[in-house]
Amino acid sequence: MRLLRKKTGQLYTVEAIMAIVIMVGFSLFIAGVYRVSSSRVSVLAGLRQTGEDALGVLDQSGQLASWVCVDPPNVTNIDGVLSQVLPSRVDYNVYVLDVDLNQIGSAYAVHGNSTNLNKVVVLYLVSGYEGKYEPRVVKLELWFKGG
Amino acid sequence: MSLGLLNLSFGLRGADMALIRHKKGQFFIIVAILYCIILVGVASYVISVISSPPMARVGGAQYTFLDIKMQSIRVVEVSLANLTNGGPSNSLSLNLEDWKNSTQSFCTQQGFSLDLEYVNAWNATSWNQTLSWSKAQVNFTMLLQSGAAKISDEFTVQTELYVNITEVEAVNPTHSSVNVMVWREGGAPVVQGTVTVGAVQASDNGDGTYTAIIPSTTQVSVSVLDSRNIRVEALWQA
Repeated sequence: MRLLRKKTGQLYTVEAIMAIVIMVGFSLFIAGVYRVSSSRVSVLAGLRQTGEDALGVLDQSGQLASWVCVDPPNVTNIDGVLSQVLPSRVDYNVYVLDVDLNQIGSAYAVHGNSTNLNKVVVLYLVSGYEGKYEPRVVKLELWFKGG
Repeated sequence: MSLGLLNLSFGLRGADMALIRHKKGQFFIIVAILYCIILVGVASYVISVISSPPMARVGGAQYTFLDIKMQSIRVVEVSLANLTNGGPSNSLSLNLEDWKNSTQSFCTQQGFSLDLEYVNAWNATSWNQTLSWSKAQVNFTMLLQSGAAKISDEFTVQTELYVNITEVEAVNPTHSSVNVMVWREGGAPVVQGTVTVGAVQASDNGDGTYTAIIPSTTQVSVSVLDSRNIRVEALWQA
């Protein structure tokens, strides 16, 4: 009985050590997953910022509205400028939509698979151009090539 | 499972193990497993919040807010341009009402809530004077909510374009020089505008003034169109 009690005591110790190993190991594993995930979000936020800046600068120059708020929208010009402004390692699709986010005719330029899970989406609202009130939305999907 | 592991590791006989199992469960192991389950739940939730969907991440609301604010200013400009180029007198109010509904719909589809209100909206022109103008003004209030975050602002949009025929002077027996000054709200000079004096395109001096040489006359009409397509027409009489 004494021997059994002694063995039981050792088992408690071993069990406690195993529990601690499981908890610490799992905590480290989760921390690693979280760190990787946070890093990915940070990269995507940077990509999103790039897209926002590109559309913002285009609109400030007056070009974006002149291409978007006409019938039909001139997506070729938007595409041409974006291909020069965006970094070469970034791929994108651009669409011109109405305010309910319905696509307008064939006003889009597609360069890749829009189901990419690592893409970011920027929506930019434009109200009109010169004397024409014509609210439209520019939708820009961005992702890293090969990512 | 953990019991079996212990059994294999330490070679205890079945009777011994049964006694241990009977007296004490594997309390520490169970606590550790519960801890892991809770940790997985919390971590999964946090990771899902920060990583998806990309459209709704923090930063999107601020960007949308600034975009709508800037485009609201443009609605006023576009409406004044429409009015001064022969559009209906109620174009400002019609456009503002549509803009209010359109922006709310746009924000709703992004998971935001927008309350855009406007008051004291008016536009007017005073043309065919030596000093002529076109003006519009609207007071906006905006409140955009994204989850617990609220972004609000109140601002007044003033859109103005002025033209003043500052000088009409004979340069020879048959022609006169006409000097025109053009500026917009806040007194900012308008450069690269389209200024027509009679049938002559005036030259841009680059500082908000324009000069044209025209056949001498007792009445000079000036038409100005700025980069926003807002028009003003002025008239000088000898």
